[in-house]
Amino acid sequence: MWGSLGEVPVIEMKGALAVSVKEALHIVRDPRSLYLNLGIPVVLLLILGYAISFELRREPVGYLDLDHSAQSRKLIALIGQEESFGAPFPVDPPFFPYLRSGKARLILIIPHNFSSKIEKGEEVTLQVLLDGADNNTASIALGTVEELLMAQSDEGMRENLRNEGIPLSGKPITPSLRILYNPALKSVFFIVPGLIALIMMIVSALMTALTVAREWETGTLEKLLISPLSKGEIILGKTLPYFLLGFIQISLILLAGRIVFGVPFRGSIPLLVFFSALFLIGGLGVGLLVSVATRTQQLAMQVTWILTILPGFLLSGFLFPIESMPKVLQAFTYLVPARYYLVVLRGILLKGAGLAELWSQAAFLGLYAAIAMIAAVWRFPRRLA
Amino acid sequence: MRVVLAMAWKELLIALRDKKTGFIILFAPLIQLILFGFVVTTEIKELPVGFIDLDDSPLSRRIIERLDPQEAFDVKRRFFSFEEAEGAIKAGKTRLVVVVPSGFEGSIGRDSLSIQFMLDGSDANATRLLLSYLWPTLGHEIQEERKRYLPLMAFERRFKEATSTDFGKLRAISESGEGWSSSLPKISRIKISTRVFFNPNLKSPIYMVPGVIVLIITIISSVLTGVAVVREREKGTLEQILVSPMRPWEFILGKTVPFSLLALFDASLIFPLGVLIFHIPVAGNLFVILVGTLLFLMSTLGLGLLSSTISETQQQAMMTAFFVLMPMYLLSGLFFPVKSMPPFFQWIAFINPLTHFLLIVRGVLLKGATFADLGVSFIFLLIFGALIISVAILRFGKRIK
Repeated sequence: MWGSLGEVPVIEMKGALAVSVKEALHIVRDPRSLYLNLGIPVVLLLILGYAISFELRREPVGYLDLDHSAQSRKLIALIGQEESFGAPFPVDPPFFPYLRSGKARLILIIPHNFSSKIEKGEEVTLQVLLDGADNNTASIALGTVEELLMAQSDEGMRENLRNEGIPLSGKPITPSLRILYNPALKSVFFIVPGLIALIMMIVSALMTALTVAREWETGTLEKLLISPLSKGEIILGKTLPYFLLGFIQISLILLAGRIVFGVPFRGSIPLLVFFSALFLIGGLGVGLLVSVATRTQQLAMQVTWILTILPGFLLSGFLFPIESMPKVLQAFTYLVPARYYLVVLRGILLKGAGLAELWSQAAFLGLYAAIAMIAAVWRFPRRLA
Repeated sequence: MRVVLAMAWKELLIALRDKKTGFIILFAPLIQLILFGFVVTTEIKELPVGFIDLDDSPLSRRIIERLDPQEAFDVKRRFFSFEEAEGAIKAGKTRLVVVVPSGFEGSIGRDSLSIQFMLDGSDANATRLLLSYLWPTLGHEIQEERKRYLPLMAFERRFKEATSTDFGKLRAISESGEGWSSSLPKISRIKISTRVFFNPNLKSPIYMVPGVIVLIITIISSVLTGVAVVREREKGTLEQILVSPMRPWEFILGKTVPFSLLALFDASLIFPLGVLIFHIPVAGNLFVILVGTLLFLMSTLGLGLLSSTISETQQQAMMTAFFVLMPMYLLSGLFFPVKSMPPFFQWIAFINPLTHFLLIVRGVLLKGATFADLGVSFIFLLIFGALIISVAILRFGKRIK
């Protein structure tokens, strides 16, 4: 097997360049594929940056006020003032249909002795009915109501103390937050690195796999193989345009992220280029391997989707923290190169990290790039068998 | 009809003939079910957390101890300086550090009481969730501690006042025979008891796995349809079909029926597994979902056909489908709640067939929603599907001529 590898260094740049130019023309010639490659990263960034949020907005809240007191009305008014909730509306039993049809996310039931118990300094229990189907929204809504009631409870406590002639304020405490790297907790700050990793995965693995599989299907790869071009020249020529396209896309996303959302760049540019090159080389290798193994575009697409893009999206820590996954899947994440690349991107962009913090990621990415490329070169047919 | 059947059969054979393809069609949905079910979770668990206790008092230790029973993290590391804590955050070894300032216990009865959080903002989403997990319990605990202190302090203050101004008052307190506890001011408390419907343990998979079914139906019916048509164009066999006596609608049916069947097959494979592994409830009538699926297939098949009319190669068709589907997923409520989006994007989400199909599937499975509950979504899917499939057929007819 090393014999065939030994032939790789015979690469004439002229031959490789000719293949590259043809491949680049194939990308540029068609305005739609150009739009897909350059416009879509920006469109996805805008959607993710503007539209994605877990903050609640105007969740519908119903209430049943059995107390009809100034206290209970005040509580309802307070809920209405929350950004998270829409104007509370009165509901009557049965409550279930409201929750089922989505007319109410949460229903608050205030018992008839609410205000009298508070005045007497006793414990009073409110009932909350919650639509838990969307567990995340439900927990945030419940948390907001709990916090509101905690504040109300403290208000009651102050009232009790005042009635006793004790002017202690007992103001509720608020934590002081010191948020490093992203003080406003803008989600776009962590979306930009994730999006770069995802798009890089698509352009390197998926695009190469498809374009080479297409040549298998149409038989043009055979023509290339019987041409005087060496194997190394063909591989280099086929992958170089996508390598460059990857860097154009990184620059585009970084620029758009900076201009539109003010995403910082705190580390070194050469370091980012170095890591991105490793990640892209690995992806190109995987793309070639897939195209050799599948030889049809339809299959190549599905295999790349399952092998690279889906794990890159789900198992990289992009949206879902790795520490929260089941242990078995956590073990799998070590095989997902996007995991390392994402640490690098977040480190360089947001934390200003250098090689001192990132060398272990570099080792993993380097290993991945080497293995993927060597395997691709090895499996790629030398001549038609 | 015979022509349609023959063609659909041929299409199915092509899809399944190859062992690799058959494998993918069977296992891709399975892998997605496992990944989405276990990974796509909005429950934050076991994130590393640290603390700095500059007060080192019984109170501060009690507060720190309260960090333990939480499920939200597994590592709890004590740091002794801010630099040490910051270093751990930079290296990604700690996401959040609770800082109890010195003099914390002494200021429990005062308004100046403060507690600090140092957070890693680089993963803003996890950080926010982690904070929203920790703060309510911790804040509540501190308030409870305060409530234990405050009446005592109040009593102490009153006692002092009484001593300095009026000995009679003091005597009244001590002679009332009620003792200490009853002369403490009474403090009211508001509690809530919560009843959660549809997903009582607030588990992520219950919400996410029905989404996976939607995802799989969408991919298979739209992408594979588009690609199958373009493949005929790429190979030049489309022209042969066109000169045959086959009519355009027969061709379209022949291309769309097999992938609809495959989509339904995969969905019915995934669904019982979801019930088995993730305990997805089936609260409503599956017939409602079936009707919804058929309506939804009109939209996705239409999109697949449309993408085939504007694509010359399979690569183009796939990229087009991929990049149309990506925004559709993001703006459907599959991962991110539609209600949290700005109004403009909520409008886009509303004209997205995926949004409505998700509402139907989740509504029926989790909530037992009926046709009446989901009327708007059904009407929308009907209109959108009819519209897009007519446009696709029109464009298709033109392309053929």
